[in-house]
Amino acid sequence: MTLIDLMTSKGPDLGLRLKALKKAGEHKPYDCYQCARCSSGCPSMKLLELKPHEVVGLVRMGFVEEVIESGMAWACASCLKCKERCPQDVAPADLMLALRNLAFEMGKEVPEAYTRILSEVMEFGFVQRPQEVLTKRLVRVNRERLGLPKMPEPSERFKSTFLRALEEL
Amino acid sequence: MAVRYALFLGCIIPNRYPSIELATRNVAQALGMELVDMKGASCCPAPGVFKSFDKFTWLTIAARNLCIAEGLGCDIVTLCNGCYSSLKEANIILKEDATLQDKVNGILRDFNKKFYGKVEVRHFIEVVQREVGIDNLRRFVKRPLRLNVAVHYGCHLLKPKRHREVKSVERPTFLDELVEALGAKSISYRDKMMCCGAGGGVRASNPDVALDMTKEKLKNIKDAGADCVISPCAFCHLQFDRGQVEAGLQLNVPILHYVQSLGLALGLEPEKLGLYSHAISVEPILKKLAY
Ligand code: SF4
Ligand code: SF4
Repeated sequence: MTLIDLMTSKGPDLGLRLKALKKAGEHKPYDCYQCARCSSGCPSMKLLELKPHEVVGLVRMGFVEEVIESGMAWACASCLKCKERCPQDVAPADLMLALRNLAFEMGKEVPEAYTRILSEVMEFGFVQRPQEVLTKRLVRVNRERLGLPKMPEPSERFKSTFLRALEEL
Repeated sequence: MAVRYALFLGCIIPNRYPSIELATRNVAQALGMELVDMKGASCCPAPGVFKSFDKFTWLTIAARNLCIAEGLGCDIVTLCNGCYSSLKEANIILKEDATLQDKVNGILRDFNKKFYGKVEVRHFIEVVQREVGIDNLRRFVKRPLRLNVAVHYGCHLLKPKRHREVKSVERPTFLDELVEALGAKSISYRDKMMCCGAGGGVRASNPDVALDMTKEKLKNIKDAGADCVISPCAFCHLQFDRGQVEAGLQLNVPILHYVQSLGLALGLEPEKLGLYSHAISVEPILKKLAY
């Protein structure tokens, strides 16, 4: 992650701006008047380096690639506080998702966990496989021990549905 | 109570916290609620990760899960705010947007499924409110939960407001009331409505960023003198419970899922609620409750 230096950046990219705004839905970022209410409740400490209202402002000016390369969109916990607090219905949270979508689309660097989880779900249908817990009393707890039914095996149908959805990309 | 719900487990509950699943099954039985397993269901899918990737893929997989409940002919109940928000939002989008619904059905058709929009997605908390009701709930209580509790709602139980019945996102009270109905005292603490830190894929991709938030929240809870946290979300539960170990915090704040606290108040044995398999021991609160 690097922060943006607008003095050395390439300059606004209006085509990319349009793409980002479209993905964020209804071109809402145009309505932002930089009141910073969104940033007032943002819990992500990392987003203090480039606050939600600054992200909106930069995208609105066309510095989309710069914001994506800052990696800041990946620090958003999707808590939706900014979305509810914004008096203009701009929803920085949705813009963060739009920027992440664009990062995937443009082949930019994406945190490894996202691709790992996506392929895990594609293979197994779930984010994780059943895990045992070792309790403080040194007892191994698992589903069987708790008397719970077995977890179903990954279904071929699920994977095919997933793959078909990907074809629409 | 003759009610029937399709139990949507998701990933975290069956794989990481089967204790919550056990508690759910036993509490449902005690309340006379029938839970039907959703055979073939998958990850909801994880909204933070999937929406970051591509909206249509997210929608298709969620639709597939919704179809399974439609086939069973009952509404869905979930015990994770993530699954709740993912399935509920997908359900709303698909019902409202005919073009998207057609596109998704075009894919599902190949796998003998079709989305009709016949079921609702409910959180366990809503089900307790609807089917039991807060006054009735008090009557069910056999062992009052005499504890000081830090109530944590979790972001997506409340937001987006547009899709939720309760319209207060900064000062809601319904969960505090449901906790107090069990005999506990909901204490106030600093920045109560703050996120646990896990959402948006941040827990997996940026653990330090996530734990920063978790640490702050748990410190505020500890400072307020809470005996434990009660949360209605399996993902927040995971973040608070495992997070204390991952961040090396020496706070030892026990975490209960709401369904587990309800089970205790109903007089179910701690073993039946999986209370011995948390990362942070719940023994101090069991002791206080004289188990
Ligand atoms: S709250 Fe809304 S209008 Fe205000 S700065 Fe943030 S996005 Fe812009
Ligand atoms: S949704 Fe993201 S940007 Fe908005 S307040 Fe929450 S963490 Fe900050």
